Formats: sequence, structure tokens, C-alpha cells
Amino acid sequence: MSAASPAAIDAMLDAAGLAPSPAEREQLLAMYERFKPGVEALYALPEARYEAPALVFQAEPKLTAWGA
Amino acid sequence: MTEIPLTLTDAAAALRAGELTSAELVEESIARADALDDQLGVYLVRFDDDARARAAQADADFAAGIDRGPLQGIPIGVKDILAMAEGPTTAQSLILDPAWGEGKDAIVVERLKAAGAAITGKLTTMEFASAVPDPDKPFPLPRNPWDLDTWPGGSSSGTGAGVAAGLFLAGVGTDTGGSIRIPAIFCGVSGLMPTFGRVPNAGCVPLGYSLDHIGPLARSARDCGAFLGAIAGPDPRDPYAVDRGVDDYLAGPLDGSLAGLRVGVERINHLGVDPEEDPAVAATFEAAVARLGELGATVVEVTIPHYAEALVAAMITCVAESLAYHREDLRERAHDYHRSNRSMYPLGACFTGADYVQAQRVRRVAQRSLATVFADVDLIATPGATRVSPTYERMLTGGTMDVLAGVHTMYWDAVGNPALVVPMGFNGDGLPLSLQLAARPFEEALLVRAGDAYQQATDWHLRVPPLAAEVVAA
Repeated sequence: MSAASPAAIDAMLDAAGLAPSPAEREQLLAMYERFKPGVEALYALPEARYEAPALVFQAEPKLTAWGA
Repeated sequence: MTEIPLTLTDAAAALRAGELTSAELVEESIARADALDDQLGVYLVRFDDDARARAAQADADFAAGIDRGPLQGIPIGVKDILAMAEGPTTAQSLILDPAWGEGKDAIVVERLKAAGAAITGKLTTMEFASAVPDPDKPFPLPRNPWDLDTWPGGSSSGTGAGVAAGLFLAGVGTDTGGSIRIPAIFCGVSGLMPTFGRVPNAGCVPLGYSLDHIGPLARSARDCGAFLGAIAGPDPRDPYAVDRGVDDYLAGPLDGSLAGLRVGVERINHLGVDPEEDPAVAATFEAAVARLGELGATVVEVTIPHYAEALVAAMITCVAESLAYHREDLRERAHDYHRSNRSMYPLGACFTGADYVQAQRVRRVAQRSLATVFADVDLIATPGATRVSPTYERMLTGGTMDVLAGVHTMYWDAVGNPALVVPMGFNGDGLPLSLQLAARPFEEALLVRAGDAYQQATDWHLRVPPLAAEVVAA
């Protein structure tokens, strides 16, 4: 799978309500193009095929929130 | 200005021997800040009077035979992303609502106060502990005391620079991709990132919820162990804090020996891969590894598994988690953010929810694979960075990714294992280089033991930047 096009990135940013300046957009696109192949490679890692994510949801909420 | 002990643990011993008072320590810290901070940009706000009051209380407690532990009466700085009742937290940003945490202490700050520390002020960072500083914003640009044209590292910039220059004996840092260890490396001090969940994060402005670690920077590994003992441990107000007892991080044995330990040396992902690797790094690292062997460790070669994948997973995790926190402010007040964050946080919108979850699956894979390596070795040694602190000119044009290219810290944030950096020498320009040691989860005491043994055999961690030495001599 190839990286999303700049137009697709613009659409994702727009959907998130984010409007970087042209210079910021250029930097963002450069970072995206740098990381996108690596993100795709995460799906190709055989050991991850049946792995559970490092996320834990606890049904019981913490009783005391900091700052409450 | 007067000479005071360089290390927290030596100062703690002097206080107990009656050779020194906390009041003297704090006055010296204040005098050094007066002399140097205009150049260094360590502090965002100082609490001189409050620190004096805490020093007086510490001295009174010593006189009354009350001992709250090794931080009692010690001047300590706190990175300004932790809430502290004495003043508003800024996260070095125009964005953070001053009402956040107003009048409250982060759990770590509560513990430092209970330990009798004399907190001298809130310290510079990068905005929300990420990206690179923005000279157009109304905050100090922190400077490296080894070379004022260079950056002290970050995001715990003021903590690293302040410890190196002797403005306080230790300080609080936070580490999401290396922000305890990077300033420790660039400033030539020690920094300990504890296991994820070992120190509660509540009351600390988040960057990456599943990557953030709070920990100490100080002169020595032993100092870091003393500090960690005061701030570690569970708290029901923190959903990430691990419900597990706290070890004695100074239990050692701190006898200077590494006999019986196996150290895995990682070169393949660290040396010869950075096109701008400093020419002094490889030889300095090999000398440090040889020293570990001379101290009794069995040194073997290892390869860290899934290294590149874990770095990508950590980066995606960080931008996704940080965008969740910042999206609404970015929509409404983007111009108030620092330049580099305005292009970095939105990156989180360019990857999918599935990408984020896949990153968490890969983090688990990396953890499992790494555990097999740690079945054969007790510690893994790498260079902390393959470059020295960059000049501001380079950093402000090269950006965040350029800075991260030469540091080797983020893998350990991805997997959550503890990691310690200790100074191991200098490059040809007199800028610090560091050895990084990592251990199994919750084996911080072993890191302290190994770092302490190395520092008993070397004095890199006791070197003082000429700028600070001149001030003390004057």
C-alpha cells in the first residue's frame, strides 16, 4: 500500500478541523512520508498477527481523580 | 560563592554529619542562579523564599532528630509540566489554562515536599515537552552550560542544564521519547527513566499517555536511586501507576563490583547507522564497555529485537495521544503553539485508529521479544546518542526529526523498561557523551548498582562545565 496523497492528507486534516500554514503543511507531509512506510510495515510483522495490543481497559474506574 | 558537594548523596551525608546546613545549600543555589541563569535559561519561575523556608524546616528537623530521607534539605528543581501549588504551570506554552492544577501539587511534587526537599523553582522545557523551542515565544531558550551556542537537550532542558551547572543538586524530568535521558546526555549528568508506571504521572501535563515517565536527573546514578526512592510507588489517583512495592534503590550492593552480571552490548542498531555519528562515540563507548568488563561483568553481544518497528510504534502512539489532548486548542489557537508543534501534533490526524492499535500490538511483540534477550543478560548497554548537543542554529532549521535522528532513547519508552544514562566521556569539542544501560522492568536498583560501579571507576559524572566552575571559583 502506498502512502496517502497530499490531497488525502489535506482531507484528513480538514476532517479534523486542522489548518496548518503552507510551511507547516510541508513539514507535516515530510514527516508523514517518512513514517507511513514504517506504519505499513507494522501490519506486516508476523508476530503481531495474533497479538493483543498493549491496551488495558479496566471496568472499575479509579475512585479518586487527581485534582478533584 | 562557595564549594558545596557535587552530588546529592554527598550533600545528604554532609547535612547529617553537621558539616553543612540546608540553608547554606539553598543560599548557594540561589547565588548560582543569580550568577548564571540569565545565560542558561534554566528557570521559568523561582521560589527563593519558599526554598529558604523549606531549608529552615529541614535544618530544624535535623536538629530535632527527624530524618525524612536523602532528599531532606536538598535543593531540587521541578520541570514546569508538573503542577505545584506555589504557582501556575505553563508547560512553557501560551496554551495551557492557568487554572489547570492551580493550587495543587502533582503526586510527585507532594512526595518531594513530604521528603523534605527544598524546591527552588519550576524549570524550562520544550512546549508541552515536545518538538523544539520557538524563539518567537515569550519563554527562555535554555542553553547548554558546556557550550552556550548549543541546546541542553530536552524536553527536560532546564533540569539537565541546572544540574550540570550546579543550580540545584537534582531535578525532576519526564521522558516520552527520551526527555530525561537526552538532556542528561547532552549536559553530562546522569538520568534515570524508571519503568512505565513506577512513578505516578497524575498532576503532570501529558504528552503521550502510554509513554510518559517521570524520573530524576542528577550528578550520579546513586543520586538518581536516592531520588527515585522518594517518588516511586502506587497512588490510587493515577490510572497508570503500578500497584507494586518500592525497592530500596540504594541496596546495591554498591561495592563497585559487577561480578555475576551479564551485560549485552548492542552495536548493530546504534553504531555505524547515523550518517552524522560523532567520530568520538564508538571509541568512547567501547572504552565504557571495556570498563564494565573490568568491573567484573560478563560482556556479550546482543541484538535488540524489533528495534525499528518499536520506534515507529512509539512515534505513532505519541502523535495520536498528543493530538487527542491538543486537537481542540489547535483548531482554535494554532498560532499560540510553538512552530514545530504546529506541524507535529496534526500528524496524529494522518494515521488511523487501526494504525494506533497496530502500534500497540507491535509494542507488545517488542516487549515479548526483548524479554527473551533479558533471559540471557541482566543489562543492555548502548551509546545514549551518537551525536553531541546540536547548535541552536542547526536545531531551529533542522527540526524535531533531525534532533531525534542522533539519539537512541525512544525504544525504551516504547517497551517501558527502565533505562539509565551516565556520562562516559567527551567528544573532540569538549561536549559530553553518555552510556545508556537498560534493564528488565522494575529492576531500577540493578541500573543504579551498575551505574554506581561505573562511576566509582570513572569521574566523567563529576566534571563541571567551565562556565559554572568559574562562577564557583569567583
